[in-house]
Amino acid sequence: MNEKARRAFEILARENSRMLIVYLRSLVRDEAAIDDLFQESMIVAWRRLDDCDPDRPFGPWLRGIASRLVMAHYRKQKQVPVALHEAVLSVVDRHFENISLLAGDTWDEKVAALRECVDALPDGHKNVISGRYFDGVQTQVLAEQLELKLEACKKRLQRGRAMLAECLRKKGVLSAAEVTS
Amino acid sequence: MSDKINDLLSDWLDDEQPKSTSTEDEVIEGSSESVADSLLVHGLLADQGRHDDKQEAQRLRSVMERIDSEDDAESVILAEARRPSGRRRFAILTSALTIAAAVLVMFVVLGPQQNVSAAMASLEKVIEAAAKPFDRTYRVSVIEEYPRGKKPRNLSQEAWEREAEEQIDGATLFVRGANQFVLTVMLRSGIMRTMGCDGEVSWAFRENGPVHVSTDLSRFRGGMPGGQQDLPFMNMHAHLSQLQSGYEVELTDEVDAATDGTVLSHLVGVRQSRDVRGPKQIEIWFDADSGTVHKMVLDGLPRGRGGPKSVMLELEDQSDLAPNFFSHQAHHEPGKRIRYEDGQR
Repeated sequence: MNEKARRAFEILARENSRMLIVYLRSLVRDEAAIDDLFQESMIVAWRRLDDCDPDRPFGPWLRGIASRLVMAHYRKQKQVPVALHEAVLSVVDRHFENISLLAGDTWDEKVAALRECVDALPDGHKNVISGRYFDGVQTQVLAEQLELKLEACKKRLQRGRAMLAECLRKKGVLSAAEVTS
Repeated sequence: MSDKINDLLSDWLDDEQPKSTSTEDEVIEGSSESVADSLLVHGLLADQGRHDDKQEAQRLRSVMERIDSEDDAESVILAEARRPSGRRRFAILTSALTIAAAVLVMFVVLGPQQNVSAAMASLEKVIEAAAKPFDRTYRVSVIEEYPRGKKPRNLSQEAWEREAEEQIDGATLFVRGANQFVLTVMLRSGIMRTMGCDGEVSWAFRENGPVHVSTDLSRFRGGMPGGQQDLPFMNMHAHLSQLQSGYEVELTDEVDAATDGTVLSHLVGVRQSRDVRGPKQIEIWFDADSGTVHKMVLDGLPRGRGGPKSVMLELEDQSDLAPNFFSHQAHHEPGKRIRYEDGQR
């Protein structure tokens, strides 16, 4: 492909790289695998650029490629997490689409509400969330540090995420749940 | 969200060695909104904790460098391929790349035994899919012709001088299941030749001649690449089945994507000995979920009859064809003369 196409792709890649990495972090835990999948998704997108409809946004198309590569990655390991059900992936994609429409020039600006929501958590939940995600402490070690049983620590983490989801939905970051009749 | 789902998510997101089961599909489907919420929040938090501008820039740089290096390699190959006198150099270059890739694969692939079983399992899936009575349309293109510089010692003068009548490049192959196909090719004379098999009889005709029909299902494949071997290139299912016995098959780590974004896995089969009558190498790109072949490269086709060295079949369409599409009547006007070659009528 020519230099013009390469430049255009580089701009698209830069604009969508943070979104893609967050998307991959939502679906994959292994950081090395996330790096590989990021690169592979971008490369496949480049090779298939002619197939991308210029009248449609690039982000959902890129996520489509990434989600297939993620599933191929898990299939190769013969261990597809049950959480990665097709219906779940569809809702995750809807959330990302909603975020892309939020005000703000950068990804950080679009999801600025996350920090506010973390700050608004009750102390007990804020401590586990901060320790686990911002300080990078393993769950077992975190439980010991906070003098909690491992199961209690995990439950608090899960409850903390649910509270954050609720807060983010109120602030318009998460899309409203679709009502099925 | 139920306790069960909560526990599953918690185990997956927060355990150091997450467990995974595959029996909870319905439960997950009913809680898809809340599971998706948790995954997204996890992704956002993990990103907040790990985000590093320098690392992000490095990731992008790596992508662009890889794109540049792929484009450079492609330019070299294309430049070589475009020069007729440079075919030999092109062959040397591609051979060298193939050998280099093979050596890399040898070192990178985890366990050879594990890989072989994964390859055979994938192959079985591909063969199974190819036997299903679904319609698929493939575009045929010639990747490489044999160099015409010097006659190989083991080839007769007649075979060496013969020029293929059919122009395979750009032909269309329609396939249904294991034994039905229709192939349309342009002859060098500018006349169209159509041949096919409906599973019971094979047939062929030129637009200006009668329809030849035979109960010998391989009767009209002689002029096609591979026609003088056991398998002409249009019998995809037979090629795939042959891979199980006469070829050393490997499932590589390469992935590609189809035009609709379907992720394609890659199988390579290398002929084990000259006793096996088929192409030297068969490469298949297939949908890992359905087993459908999206791309197939047959390399090292027989040298005689002026055929090409390698051809590629690319999936163009999967829509249903008319029920009688594979019978000759569907391809010519009703009054066309029919010649039954083996006395049948």
